[in-house]
Amino acid sequence: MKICLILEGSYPFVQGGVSKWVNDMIRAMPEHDFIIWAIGDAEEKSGKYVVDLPPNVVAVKEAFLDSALKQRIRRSLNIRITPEQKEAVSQLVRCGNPDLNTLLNAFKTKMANPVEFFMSEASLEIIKDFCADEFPFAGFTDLFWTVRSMFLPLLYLISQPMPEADLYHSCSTGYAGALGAFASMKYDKPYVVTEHGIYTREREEEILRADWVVSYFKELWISMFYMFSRFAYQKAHRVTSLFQRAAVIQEDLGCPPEKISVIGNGIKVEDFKDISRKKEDGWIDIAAIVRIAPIKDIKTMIYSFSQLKQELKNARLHILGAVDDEEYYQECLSLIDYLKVKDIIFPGFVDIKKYLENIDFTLLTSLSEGQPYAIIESLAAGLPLVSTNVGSCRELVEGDKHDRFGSAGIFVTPLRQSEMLEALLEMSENKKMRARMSKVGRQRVNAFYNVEKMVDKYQATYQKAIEIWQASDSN
Amino acid sequence: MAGIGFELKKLFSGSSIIMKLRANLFSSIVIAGPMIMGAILLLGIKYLAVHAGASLHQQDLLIVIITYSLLFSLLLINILSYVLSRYVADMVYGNMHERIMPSMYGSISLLLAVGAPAWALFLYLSKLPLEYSIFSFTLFCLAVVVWTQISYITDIKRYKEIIYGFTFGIVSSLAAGFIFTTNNVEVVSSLLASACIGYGIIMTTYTFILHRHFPKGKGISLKFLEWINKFPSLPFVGFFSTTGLFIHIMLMWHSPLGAQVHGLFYHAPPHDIPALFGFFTILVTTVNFVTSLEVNFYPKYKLFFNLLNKGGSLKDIEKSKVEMLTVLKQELLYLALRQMFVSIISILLISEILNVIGVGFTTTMIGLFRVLCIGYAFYAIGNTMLLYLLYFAADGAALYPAVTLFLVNTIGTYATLTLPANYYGFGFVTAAFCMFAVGLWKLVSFTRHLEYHVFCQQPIFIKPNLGLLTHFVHWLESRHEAKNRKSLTGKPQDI
Repeated sequence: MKICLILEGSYPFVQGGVSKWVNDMIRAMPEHDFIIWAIGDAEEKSGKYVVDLPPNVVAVKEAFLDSALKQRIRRSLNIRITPEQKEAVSQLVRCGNPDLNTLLNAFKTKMANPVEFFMSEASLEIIKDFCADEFPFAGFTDLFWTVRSMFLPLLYLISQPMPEADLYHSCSTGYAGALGAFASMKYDKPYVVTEHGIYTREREEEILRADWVVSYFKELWISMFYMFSRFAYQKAHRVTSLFQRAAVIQEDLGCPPEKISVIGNGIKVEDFKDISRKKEDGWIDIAAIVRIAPIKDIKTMIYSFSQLKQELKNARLHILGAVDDEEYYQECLSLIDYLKVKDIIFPGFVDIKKYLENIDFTLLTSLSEGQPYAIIESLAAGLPLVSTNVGSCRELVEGDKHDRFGSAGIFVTPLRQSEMLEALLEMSENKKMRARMSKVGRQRVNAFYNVEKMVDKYQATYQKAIEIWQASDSN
Repeated sequence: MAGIGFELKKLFSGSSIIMKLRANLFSSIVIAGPMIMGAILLLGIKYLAVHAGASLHQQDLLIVIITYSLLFSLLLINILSYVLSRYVADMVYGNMHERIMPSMYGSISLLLAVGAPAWALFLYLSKLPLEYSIFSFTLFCLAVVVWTQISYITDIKRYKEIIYGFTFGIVSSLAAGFIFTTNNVEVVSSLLASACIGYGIIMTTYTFILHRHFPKGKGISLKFLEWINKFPSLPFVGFFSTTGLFIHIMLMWHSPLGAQVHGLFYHAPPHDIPALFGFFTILVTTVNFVTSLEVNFYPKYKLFFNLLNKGGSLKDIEKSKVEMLTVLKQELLYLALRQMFVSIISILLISEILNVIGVGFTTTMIGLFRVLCIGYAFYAIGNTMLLYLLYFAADGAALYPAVTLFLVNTIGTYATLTLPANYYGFGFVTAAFCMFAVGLWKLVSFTRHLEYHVFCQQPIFIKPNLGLLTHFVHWLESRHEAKNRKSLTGKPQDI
């Protein structure tokens, strides 16, 4: 079977959880061919892959959102659109329920390329109507440019040739999800959406924080991503999430509950089996396996650790992971400087498994997570952890109703330094507790977070999607 | 989970999506003004020549040399005048006043570098006596400078100072001419010299005015060339609209009405003089346009663009658009009515007026004057519409009336030359009418879709402009910077 994996801002351009997952999946299914449909933000990333492509990847199709802005325009700007097309585009800019078929046909054919469309009088009329109805008091020029830049990339993507496959699989909602919906519709093929975080919520947070969006248009931007996820959920035959809470959110966002199943992440447990425990050396070594990015809240980590240092002179913090956001990294360095904290180490690229042999426990301060590999691996390596209670961290650390192994770490509320300090102190001082948690962690990963089991479940999901698609087709 | 979804900020932030529209604070060049003042000087000189007892040939020679020098310099500078005007407007808008003076010197140098050798060649081929050639050459160069200066002074709306400067120049020139001729200096030379003196004085006055209003310059002087890349239609609009206005005169020099004066210098007094008088009748539109534009139209125009730029709601924008276009319509209508009134009066009363002035007009000339008056009236209104189009930055649309005038005038005048003399002048009338019609059509269709043009035709994302001239300017700038750096780092070593 030929499977088209649709990825956004991820594999093969970026290292991280999803990339790792994609790599594991593709290698675990040598019987299938994979097409990677990779959506990136900027053309300059073309061909710059940070992963080795497995042999069963038969093609990589790149699509860059900024290509939309580099399109040539012909001179004919008097584009005529049918009332149905007008209604579809109008619904699209209102983030309502556009008819996807009409949109697809309008922009895949020669009606207009999206740039031409947004330079036509027809688009101006649509935006004016929208403005009059929804934003009568907002600055029209701002709205005009906002709408243009919001929807141009999507319309560009659907106007481009789409790879053909037997099954489409988006690894998120957003642009990837919307594109999957259009492609599966275009070629009438089964469609699977697997979510590895809650994309829509993460976008929402990003936009709320953003300073480049005019405040009264933030809601519009957020609605656009909600609409994108509706496209994906509506057209998907199966939808998965990593943990129960995420499934509930998917339902809230409009996914029919009967489509959803929960499949956790899995790792190769045996790779971590032989990691030995650290020998006493007088230091308490804490590791944070994180990308350096604002969402990981490294700053709270630094604050808490600096407080810990005042109580425990022999504590060390190792921050392992690539710099994702250089500006944020510099801010973190200045913070360390300002607080005059010692013993915060950025070792750069290291063999993490080897490194973990000299660690006492791990720490995660993220504001948002899906089901972080960092925790699963840390547990597999027999390291207890202190983690914020986000995403599925609770299930990983404490288990759920099917899992009675006990606790493998301590929870704290995001951003709460005092709580974090307490947890760090407790973990650092209670050696017995660490040993108990270490055992629990290994048992849990063995039982539930094994890569073979994960791959089986996704195989079954594909199968189920195909069945549902066949059933709906024969109707 | 880690590593999914790129950062939106990287794609969507940046000035490109919140691009601001810009009101085109674009002062139009009103070429009729300087032309008319030039004509007054010409008449004064002619009067002095007659008074000094110059022969008919000498009078003719004097007139054609001055006319040619002024006319060809005017045609030359109009290639750049709209570009310069927009450049100055942009610099004023962007508060980069220090870039203005260098562009004036840059453009003058460029125009002279091209125009002066060409003019010298023309004079050489005409086999004019050397001293006449020198005066003509001087006058040509001075005129290039003065026309350019006028375009800059117009940009800061110091219309009165333009007139004062010119009046001062004319008076001095005529005074000098009077002194020379009464002191038995050769009449043609003395009056050519006095014309040069006049334009020299105008140039000096304008230089003084300009330096008072613009700060000392900074940056390279050819920066404005980038604006040709940005607005490639403008040089053509300038060239065709101006050349189109004079081409019938030049063609008539070679008609049965025309005659060779000397070498390449021709004239056709039975046509030239009515044309000159006809030209005077559009003074009314020239003056009214400036005031109507500034007093009535500009405030509405500014409001409209301010609303667009500063977060005006759709309702407010639409309301201000309607108001602006209403004013535009009214002003055009008033201008047309006034022009019509003046033209009709002139046509009806021409014989009486001429009797009063005492200039001898033949029946053919009176007929031609009446015909040409109609043409100039259409031209005046057509050209006003062209200027409004430029105001809306509809450069492409403005090219239509400009090219129409040029083409129809060329073809039409040629065509009438094959017909009896009664038909002379109808080529220009047809051309002016076509320009008027095309201008109206373009202005109506442009303003009907004004929001579309203002919004949609803006490129979605601004691309850097990479034309040949832009590259050239960037190269000049990098050299200029390198030189500056060198001189800065060089100083301590020198000490």
